Amino acid sequence: MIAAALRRIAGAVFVIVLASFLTFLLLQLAPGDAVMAIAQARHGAGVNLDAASLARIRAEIGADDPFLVQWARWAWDLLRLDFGVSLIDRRPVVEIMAEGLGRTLELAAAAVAVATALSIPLGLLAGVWRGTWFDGVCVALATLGSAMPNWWLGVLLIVVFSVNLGWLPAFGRGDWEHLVLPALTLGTGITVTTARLLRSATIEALAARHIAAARGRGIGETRVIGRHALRNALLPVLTIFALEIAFVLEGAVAVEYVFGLHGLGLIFIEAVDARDYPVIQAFVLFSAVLFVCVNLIVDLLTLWLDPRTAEGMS
Amino acid sequence: MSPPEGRAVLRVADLTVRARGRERPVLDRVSLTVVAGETLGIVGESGSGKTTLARCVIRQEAPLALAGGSIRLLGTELSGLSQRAMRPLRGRRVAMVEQDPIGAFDPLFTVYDQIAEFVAVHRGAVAAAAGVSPDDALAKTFQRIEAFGVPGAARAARAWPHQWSRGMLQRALFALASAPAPALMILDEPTAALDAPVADRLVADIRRLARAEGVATLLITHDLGLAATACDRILVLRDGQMVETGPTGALLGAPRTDYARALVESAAW
Amino acid sequence: MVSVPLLALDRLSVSVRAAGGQPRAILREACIEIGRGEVVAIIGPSGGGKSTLLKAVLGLTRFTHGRMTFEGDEIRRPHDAVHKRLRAAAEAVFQNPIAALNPHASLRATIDEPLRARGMGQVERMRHVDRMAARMGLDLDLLERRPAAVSLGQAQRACIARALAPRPTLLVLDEPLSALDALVAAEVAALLAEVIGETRPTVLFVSHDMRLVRRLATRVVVIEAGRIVEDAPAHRLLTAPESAAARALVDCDNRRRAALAATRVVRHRETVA
Repeated sequence: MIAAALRRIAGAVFVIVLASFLTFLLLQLAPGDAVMAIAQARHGAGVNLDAASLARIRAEIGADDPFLVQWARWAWDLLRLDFGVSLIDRRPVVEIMAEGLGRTLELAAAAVAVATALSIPLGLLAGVWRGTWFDGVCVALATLGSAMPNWWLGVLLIVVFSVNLGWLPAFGRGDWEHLVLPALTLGTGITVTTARLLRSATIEALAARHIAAARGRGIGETRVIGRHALRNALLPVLTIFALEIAFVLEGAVAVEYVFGLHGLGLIFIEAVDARDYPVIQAFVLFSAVLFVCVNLIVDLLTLWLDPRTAEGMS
Repeated sequence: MSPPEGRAVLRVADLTVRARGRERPVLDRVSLTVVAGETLGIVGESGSGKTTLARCVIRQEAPLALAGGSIRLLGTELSGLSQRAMRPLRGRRVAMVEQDPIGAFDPLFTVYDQIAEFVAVHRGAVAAAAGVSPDDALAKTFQRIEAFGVPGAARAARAWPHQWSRGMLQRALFALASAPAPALMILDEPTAALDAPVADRLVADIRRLARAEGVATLLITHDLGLAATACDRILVLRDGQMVETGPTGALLGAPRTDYARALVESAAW
Repeated sequence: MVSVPLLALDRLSVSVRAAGGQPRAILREACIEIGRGEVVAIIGPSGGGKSTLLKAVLGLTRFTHGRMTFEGDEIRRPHDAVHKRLRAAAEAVFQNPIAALNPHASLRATIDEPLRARGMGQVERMRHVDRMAARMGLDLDLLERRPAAVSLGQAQRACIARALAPRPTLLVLDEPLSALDALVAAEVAALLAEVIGETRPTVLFVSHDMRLVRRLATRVVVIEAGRIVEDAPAHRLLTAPESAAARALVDCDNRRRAALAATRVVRHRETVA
């Protein structure tokens, strides 16, 4: 079990290192030459530069070092959270990312809370009461939910709760009331996917022989469903649920836009728009690390939930 | 048909079961009686309806449907009971052990968890049957599993079901099934996954116990050799219909129907 | 002149790597020499390595240590020349006939395939398939059906017909009866005994059914926990088993026979040695 866990952690570290290689390469390929840029900054644009002074600058910043050495220097900066400064407003990239991440985390946490509270009971009960009116309503709502764009639900909620009823603020950031509508919007999106999956996983789990055997031994329905069926059904849903969370953490652009929340999603879009490479780089790395970590957490959870995976069964 | 003597634990009369969209019933007017301490063998080939019969008695016949007849357990009519009403009877009055011991355990919980879960539900009955206080019911159950041939059961139970052998799991299930002193035990091909010597010993153990404690047993099997060594009476089923029933010796020694004779011939070669 | 055994296993071991990384021995140093015409049963508790031995012989699993020779020549690795010769001379029947048969081929095509592979002419093949099918009690119209359209028993008969049609030197059977109902199993066992008697191949088979062992075997090898614990002529092993594993199986078989026989006059059918 512990060996299997260590193997997965090692695998995750390997993927992150690989991702950093790719990001670094991407950076090298980006337009604009660093040496040229420094030279122009020192001697003024348009000045004819001799080869000797260019070579001096190259040596100074280590542009002639082997790839691995350059990469290591770059990676060391990253490890110290030095991502450089934004080309737009000259602020450190870390500061920009941290601000965005703070807002996004707030929103994501609220959305995940909504999704968990909705999708587990809805998916489980729709599966347990398969074929009843409850199941029918759930399936219809899920179909509707996946057919309509998430931001449109946001607009709808604003119209009803802010504009017509005036209960909640429509956009901006502040106390918890500002979070309710965006969290509901985003949370419903995750719920639609997860609940559908959990429903079918529950139906499958309930068909297992050990469920009938437990009932045959006189174990009560609450335990049969709440413990055995639920744990078996959650196993396949875990991966998708975690990926949904990762997508939200990456920034739900449309929802951020509708509710005027300046989170990671909008920051990224603006950076792309302005070709702000240091920010794009930080964002790409953040995404890579995020997805690797989410996958790792899912793997470790699965390992913990399903003892057979540690031995390469199932 | 020789009417068994003693207290009837299970009385099935004219039981008919249908599958949706099928003309032929899966079980067609099947009747049987099992008395306390007796083992009745239900013998038939695949598709004979013998497993359906077992499931009907604990009312887990779905998606098939009862279409007639009665099932009386200790005088209580089961055929009209809801799943909710059946629950207190399951495990407590009627216990079932099935063919695949691995499938009977949830792979995501330890063996210990699932034994403790069973004991928690039937604590009173298990304690009373063993003559101990409710607090000692779990420890007593592990002793019982050890007595069925799983040494160090309480420690071994900390492992996952897939780490136990089929034989060990089936012994544990036998011990659990008999722990609350049920009136009826249904064994549905309980030894099909085991080697013959292991199977014979296990069935002999359970039969001795059933006789000593007056438990009625329904042994469902395709194996006439097993039925010959383990049953007091045998009922032969074919395509959902009763072919012949009688004391084991009489049925095997002088089968009255061609089908039963053919089955006996096919067992002894 | 000392005759060369058809198949010889010399301290053959098979181990698999468990997920923890530790190799686990399934078969430990198995030594068996099988002469032409012998019918060898392999018995023992499940999980002991019986099927692994068959798989190693058929080249379906690699052995980790030891030597295997066929007609005196060593098989050094899977698919070398000697191993190909063994595969060409051997046919196998497995437990589950439906899984073993190509679902898209008719029974006729299935039985025909090993004959075609051996280059037999078309007219002769046709006649031979008809003859084999009739011998195994398969109606000719069944031959045009696919496995899904026949019963389990009929499918297993087709598997046996396919295996015996090219008159193999070595016939390997892995639990050939265990998927069949009692009535069908008894019929298939009787047919199997007859056709083996007629074509006289060397047979290596695994069965937990002692009735089949009594019926077919001339020699019995007992495997327990990966080791060969007994190897004896069938009549000796069935009457005076020495290993605990063999004794348990024989006793159990005797008990069942006694229970079945106690109540009726058993028609005696002694095993043909």
